[in-house]
Amino acid sequence: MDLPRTPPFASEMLPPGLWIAPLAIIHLFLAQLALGGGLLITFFEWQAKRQGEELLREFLHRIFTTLVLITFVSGVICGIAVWLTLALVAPRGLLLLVREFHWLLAAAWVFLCLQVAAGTTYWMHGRFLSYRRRLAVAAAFALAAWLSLFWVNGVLSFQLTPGGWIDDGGVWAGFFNRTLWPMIAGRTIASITVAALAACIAAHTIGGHDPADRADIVRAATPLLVPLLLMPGAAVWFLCVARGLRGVSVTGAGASITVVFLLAAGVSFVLGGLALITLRGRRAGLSLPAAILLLALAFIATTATELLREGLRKPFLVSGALYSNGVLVEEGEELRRVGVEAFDTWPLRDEDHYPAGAVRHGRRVHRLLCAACHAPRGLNGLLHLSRRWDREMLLFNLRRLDRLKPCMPPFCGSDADLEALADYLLWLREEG
Amino acid sequence: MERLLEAPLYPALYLATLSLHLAVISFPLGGAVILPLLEPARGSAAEVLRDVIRRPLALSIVLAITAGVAPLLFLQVLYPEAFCAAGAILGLWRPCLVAALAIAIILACLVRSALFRRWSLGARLAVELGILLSLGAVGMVFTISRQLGERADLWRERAADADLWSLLWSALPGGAMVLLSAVVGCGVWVLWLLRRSQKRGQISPGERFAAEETVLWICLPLTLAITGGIPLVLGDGGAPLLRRGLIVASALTAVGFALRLRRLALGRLLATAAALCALAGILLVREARRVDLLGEAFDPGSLAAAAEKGGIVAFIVCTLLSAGAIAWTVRIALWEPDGDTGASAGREIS
Repeated sequence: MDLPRTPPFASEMLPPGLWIAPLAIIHLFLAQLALGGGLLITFFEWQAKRQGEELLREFLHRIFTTLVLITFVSGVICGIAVWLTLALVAPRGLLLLVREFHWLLAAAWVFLCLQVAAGTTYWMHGRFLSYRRRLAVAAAFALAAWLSLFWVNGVLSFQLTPGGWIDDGGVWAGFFNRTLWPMIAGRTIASITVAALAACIAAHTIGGHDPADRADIVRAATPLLVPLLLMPGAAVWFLCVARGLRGVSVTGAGASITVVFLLAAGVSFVLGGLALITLRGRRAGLSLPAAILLLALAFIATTATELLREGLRKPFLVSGALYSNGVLVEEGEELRRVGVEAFDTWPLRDEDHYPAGAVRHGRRVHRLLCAACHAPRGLNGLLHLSRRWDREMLLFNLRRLDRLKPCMPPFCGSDADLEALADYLLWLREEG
Repeated sequence: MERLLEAPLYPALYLATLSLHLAVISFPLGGAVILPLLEPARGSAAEVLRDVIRRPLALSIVLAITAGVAPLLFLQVLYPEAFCAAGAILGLWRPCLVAALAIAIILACLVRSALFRRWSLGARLAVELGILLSLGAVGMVFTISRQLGERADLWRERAADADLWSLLWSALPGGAMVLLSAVVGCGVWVLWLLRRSQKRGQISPGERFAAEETVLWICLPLTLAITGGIPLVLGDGGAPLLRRGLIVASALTAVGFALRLRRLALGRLLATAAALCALAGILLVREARRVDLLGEAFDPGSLAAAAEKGGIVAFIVCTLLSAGAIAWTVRIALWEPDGDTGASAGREIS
């Protein structure tokens, strides 16, 4: 495999890897809301058609802009932000995914276009369409959203479990990997759940409905919480097929991953329990505070699940192929032999700031091998992480970081690179 | 040009999707220029024109963003190194343009609300200039990114010192050309939207022609200026035949506008067809120049290898299915009675 060696980007205070996480989580939550919104309007349209219920149709018209269109548009904008940020902080990871899966990502795009077309038509003309046609447009929106998720999710799950692709099994072997279907099941269930909760909140907060109408709308949305009962099954399915990944086995798990796993499991359990109670007392319906609480829990569960997925993937961007610092696994040997300076020939941006020699060399090593996740200072900064280590300790630990912390990639530099990185860290410490 | 044709699949897809994106983005970008110009004007023509531009403004930005995803994808397949090098040099500026996009959409939603119409002239101008600045900033960042991406000889120097002011300065002529072209593109869109509004009985024929005259008097001189500016901006870039064709297409757009001023229906069709040809021409010239400038950094061999990656059949099937469904929804949108995208929707937003 051959990936271009693009200029590395290094931030001084905030590790670039951390920029992606909030953007990606917000994008995911909004995208789930938009997909779930599509499924919700289809379900409500179907119910309205079956029961001749005008209330639901009127409600859909009023919430469509907020619940579906705004979340969809914000989701797309956040998605582009994630993409452009990835191009900056993990260019080689992005290039690998684009090179392998551009046709499938393009397929996701054509369904995004259909989503826009169907959504706009429903929004502009929905009120004037026949029942059947309205239902068909809503279904087209939901189906397009789900198919878009399908293609993108395949690429995301590939990063975690690339399957036969690693052995040159090709694009399809990578796409239909073992975590694809459990992840799709989990995301679909999550989408339906958050949309049902958002609909309950909208029913309580939008004016113009009397209490009986509100209760009717909430009752109509409550069946959409039923799939949440399948979530534990989807989670167990995921954990079973992901067996063998670092972190899934209890012994290999880092403390942070274990905490995130417990958080995701705990919040999902509470969410499921509350949903079950709601379903049992369906006649009373879901109150506004309960719906807000459940939606907040759903957001926390989504965040924890995404952090867990990221944690499980480490130290790789693409498991077994590309380390999180953008070095291909197969490049590791060459890097150790020739050293970082022969590999990364791009000039330093602030070269005069560093004393010539080992420190400048060390800055280059930091930029290529560490900067993707660790800024020199600030949050998760190298200065803070290595503050108690003297030079001997630095050399000892840096050389075997992957054995000390399973989430770290091996040090892929020469002995001279290692010495230079230690000098750079000591210089940083002197600078304060 | 020959190197571009060695692996024609990706350039063709890139240019087709980019044309679609630019055709759509010309409406909000050009509209953002026209709206502040029209804001102080009184009379029904200006009122009709403002309304025709404001109503679909937010939607057109969303459509342009969606249409822009595919060219962004194919750009990375075509020029992976150039895309990432430009991104690393520009640093956070490129991801930050997403914030400008979000601001533009929020402001565009605001201008179509009933509340906005009750604001003072100054406040309305400030909002419309906000849209122009936001979209203009996005356009400038992408123009700089493109110019950086095609100058492989500058990457090392710029990687050491980005010097954003000089980058901005050098991108100004290109950015100005994009803005002027967007106004012309918006003018073409407006001609069609006015026709549709009249057909639906939303405006009278008199109002339509008065509004058309206003927009044509904005677009006609700009089109002539663009026609004259093409040789200056392009220099020796692109094949001579293509360059001449581009000038002819631009001139024909001006002729179309002039004919429309004389109320000939042919003028609108001619202006539309010529403007589309000019758009395709400028994109072809630009890509040919980019490939020439990139030299060895553009590798047609790797594109041929990329094309053999699996999934093309899935893409074609999905495209056909999706295109059929989109055609069906567009048919509904065009033939069904108009929905509440006008004043009533504005009231709801307010």
